[in-house]
Amino acid sequence: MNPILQIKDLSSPLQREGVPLLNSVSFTLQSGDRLVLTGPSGSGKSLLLRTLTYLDPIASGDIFFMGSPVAAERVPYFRSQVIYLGQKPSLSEGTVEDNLKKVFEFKVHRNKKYERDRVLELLRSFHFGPSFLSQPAKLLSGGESQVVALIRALILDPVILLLDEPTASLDSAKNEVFENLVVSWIKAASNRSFIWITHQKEQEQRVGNRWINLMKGLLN
Amino acid sequence: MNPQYISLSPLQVATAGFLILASGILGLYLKLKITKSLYIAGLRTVLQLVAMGFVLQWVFKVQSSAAVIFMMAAMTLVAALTSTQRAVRPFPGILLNSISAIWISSWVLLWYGSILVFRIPVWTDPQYVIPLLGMILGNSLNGICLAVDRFTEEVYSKREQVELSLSLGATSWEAAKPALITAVRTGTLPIINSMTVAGVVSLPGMMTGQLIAGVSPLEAVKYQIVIMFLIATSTIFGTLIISLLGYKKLFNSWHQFQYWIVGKRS
Repeated sequence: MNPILQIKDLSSPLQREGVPLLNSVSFTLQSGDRLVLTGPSGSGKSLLLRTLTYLDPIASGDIFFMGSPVAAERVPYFRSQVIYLGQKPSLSEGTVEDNLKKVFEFKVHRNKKYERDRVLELLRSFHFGPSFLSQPAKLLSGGESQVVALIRALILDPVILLLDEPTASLDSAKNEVFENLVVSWIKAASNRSFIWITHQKEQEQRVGNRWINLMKGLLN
Repeated sequence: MNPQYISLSPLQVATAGFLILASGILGLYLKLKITKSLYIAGLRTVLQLVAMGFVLQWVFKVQSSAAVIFMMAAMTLVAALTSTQRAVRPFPGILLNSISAIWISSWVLLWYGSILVFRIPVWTDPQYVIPLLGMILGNSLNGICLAVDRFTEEVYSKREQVELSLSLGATSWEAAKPALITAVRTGTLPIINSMTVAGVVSLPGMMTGQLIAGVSPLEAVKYQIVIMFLIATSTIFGTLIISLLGYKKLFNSWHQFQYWIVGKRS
């Protein structure tokens, strides 16, 4: 079977003390893969996820999505299918619901519709009621923002989630809900997968079924 | 025209210069640390304007299209250089962007003004085109300067927001649009403000000059209205062009925000 995502010899032009921050990284992602990415701080984990979604510059290497290379004009589509959730979730002015709705204005999501019921159901699993939607997004705590960022990604129906320490600010109860939600999201369809960056040993074991380790820009 | 205005003697000009001298001494006394730059600025005002006076006198006398065009080109280039000199966050190509934005916006409006509005028989008549270009440049320059700074600052300091949009599937255009709108608004705000208060709070410089030179107020008003419209349109053009060119430089065809080419805050 074709991998969903194939990364070949990906290198970054960004350097620290003359050493590239990503050095010829290769790996593949198959359906159902729950890939945990570990490594010390500064080893290039976030950079890897940002580089493979074309947010950071690429020096050399290839990225194949569903078997074919990603063309420049298809990058927005690629990013709508392979969604990167940054370490610090960014929310703009307005209410939580404004933030969730706004992304549907992008051309790539024109054929999708914002479904409030689905959002309410996702919120309910975190024990948030409908009134949460009318909260000003700027007043949310770090953990609440991470929940909103996850929901915002899920309702866009991607095939791959790239999660960059997504539960760092969550309490243990919400952390558990978060993990279960993402794992059951993978299991709900046949072509889904994720890469999850974490520093917590227990979380690595709970969420992952494959583990890779990055050291100084090199995959071990 | 009615040449009944008072011609100034060098001593009269020096009397005004005394004000700068006195302000500088006051600055020294109050330790404001403005004296040196005030004196340099005052000296530059005198030298630059006197030099400009001689050049203009010569250009008016020789009546050569080539000399007029050369002079206008020089003015435009200096304006472009000035507008990027103090760029808060420079990036490669910013000077070329600024030259294009200033050149296109000011010369298009200059032609519109001199050919369609003033209908001067020879479009290089220095008596009209040089003051016109000067006024257009001065204002476009301001707008362009504000717009380019605002655009870069907006995308750079709100990089998280821009990258968030990109990471959720936005095209680079969709991600940059809020910054583009803010930049154009910022660049055109001063001229829209001065149009709003024209004649109420301030008497614009050109009109003041004409009044002193003895032109009838209603005649001066007509000129001022035309100038305001030319200046405003050129500023809007200029800010639009500089913002779009900035967008083209800072975002590439891979829908990447090339934050890594933006220079340090100066």
